[in-house]
Amino acid sequence: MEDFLGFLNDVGHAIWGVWTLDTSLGQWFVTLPYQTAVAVTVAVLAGASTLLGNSVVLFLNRVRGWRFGVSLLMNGVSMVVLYAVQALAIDVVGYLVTGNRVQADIAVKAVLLATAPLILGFFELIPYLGPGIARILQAWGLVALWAVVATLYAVDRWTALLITLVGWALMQLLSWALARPMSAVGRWIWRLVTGRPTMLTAGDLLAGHQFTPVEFDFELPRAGGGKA
Amino acid sequence: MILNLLVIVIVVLFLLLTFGPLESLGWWRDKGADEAHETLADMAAEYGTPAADPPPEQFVIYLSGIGAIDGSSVPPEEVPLVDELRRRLPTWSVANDVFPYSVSNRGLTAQRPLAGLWKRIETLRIANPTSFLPFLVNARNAIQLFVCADRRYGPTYNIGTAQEILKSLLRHGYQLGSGVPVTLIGWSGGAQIALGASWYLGLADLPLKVISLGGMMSDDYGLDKIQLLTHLRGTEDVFEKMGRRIFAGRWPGAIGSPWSRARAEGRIVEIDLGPIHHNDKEHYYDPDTFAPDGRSYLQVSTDAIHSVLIGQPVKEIDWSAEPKEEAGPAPA
Repeated sequence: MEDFLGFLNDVGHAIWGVWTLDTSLGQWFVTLPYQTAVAVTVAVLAGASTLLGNSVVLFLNRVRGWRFGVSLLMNGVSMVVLYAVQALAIDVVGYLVTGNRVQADIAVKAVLLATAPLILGFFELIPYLGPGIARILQAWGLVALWAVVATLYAVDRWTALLITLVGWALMQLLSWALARPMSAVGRWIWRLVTGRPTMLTAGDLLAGHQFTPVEFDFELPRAGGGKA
Repeated sequence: MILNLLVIVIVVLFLLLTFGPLESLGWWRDKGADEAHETLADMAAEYGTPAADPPPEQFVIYLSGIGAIDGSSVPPEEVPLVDELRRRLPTWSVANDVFPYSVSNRGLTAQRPLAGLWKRIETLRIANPTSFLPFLVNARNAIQLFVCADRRYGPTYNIGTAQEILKSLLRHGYQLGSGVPVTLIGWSGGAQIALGASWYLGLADLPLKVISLGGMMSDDYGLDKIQLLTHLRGTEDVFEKMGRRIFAGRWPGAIGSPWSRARAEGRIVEIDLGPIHHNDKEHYYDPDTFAPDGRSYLQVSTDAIHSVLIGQPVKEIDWSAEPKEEAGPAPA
């Protein structure tokens, strides 16, 4: 029990350290006996919270009960995978820029920690202000990643920024290239977990256009035939 | 100490805002979509069915401001305006039985987890209208206003309120497909709810107009479905001004927004009523403050809405003139 409470305390400490961009966090983190568990927990929390913030998608698609919970968890897991790939991209770019090779597992853990600001992602639920808050959190996450990269490679802030931005751009390129297969896999997982075909996606909602979240036609027939 | 209190207030406010959309989202997920199906089936069955009695000439639905607790428990100062409209328009249907801040027309004192709290507040408001606690009602309903205006939540929220408005119209004898005009009057936040619901009401082919009284409105897509929005506003109304500032789609540079589109097409008319405030004192429903022409602010508001309803120009007031003798009590 004490171990578990200690673990929670360490997770909390790591989150706070990233939120406040505490530069001494790295030295503290390397002394932890269960670094991987702390880093993965932070990323899973960030992923689940981000989907909770976007849970309007789950509500509109009428996902409920255990499927709702599993969807949140799956989003957490997918965020761990996504950021692990991001870490590998940064690892490659970092090596090319600095000539220093950082062990891949350390890079992954560091990048997973940088997702800590997204733990507040549930605030995206806030009506009207939510999308703006999400953008702020994303920017905060990028700044946190910048700080983590600076610590990881022990480089000045501009070199760290270069590594972060190139790594980020590489991820965007990868996302674009793999968009179709990833979307197909995503739909398959969605159907498996929610038991429903996708009706509305987060993209549909964030596009800001009017949508009708019903499977049927709301229009009534005109008196003389045809639709209203 | 003060800083800690401020942090606590901000955290509580954020949490209230965060959980605000869950009522309408939960309603949609659990039964809203099915109810919408049933309502559509009922309406399709009734479509074109002639009314048994001569129907009213026109239909008006009054949507209260964010101080409402349910369809029937609105702040007392609003009652005389609705009563006066009914008196002046005896052949029209003027209804105020829709609670705009719930997707299922369920008042705050109905079957809800916090119904007890809202009942106590309602009692307190009757006993002491100036007490602070009733502002919790305003805060709760204001959050629903933003839920309605949010592009993500609005569509489901507005299906709920559109359904309730349609049900109210049918209760009062509206014949679907008759082409009889319908006007929604939205006071304060009620104006946003009216615009939100208009998207779906428009799809049901209702000839629709909206009158906003000091409305705090966004650039809702419902604007695309209405014939005319008449926005009556006081020049001292801070909440109406706030609406213009916080909803970016209403900014002058918001090209292509539903608001800009409706303005360009001449479907938005904005009329300044004079130095009227939103609430507290010298507000739209104030029977004790008088314009220079001798009419109370309540009369000014009532006359303006009545004029718009019957298609007459709103009477202009020379606010620089010397005030006349008080004209006596407000219409009620």
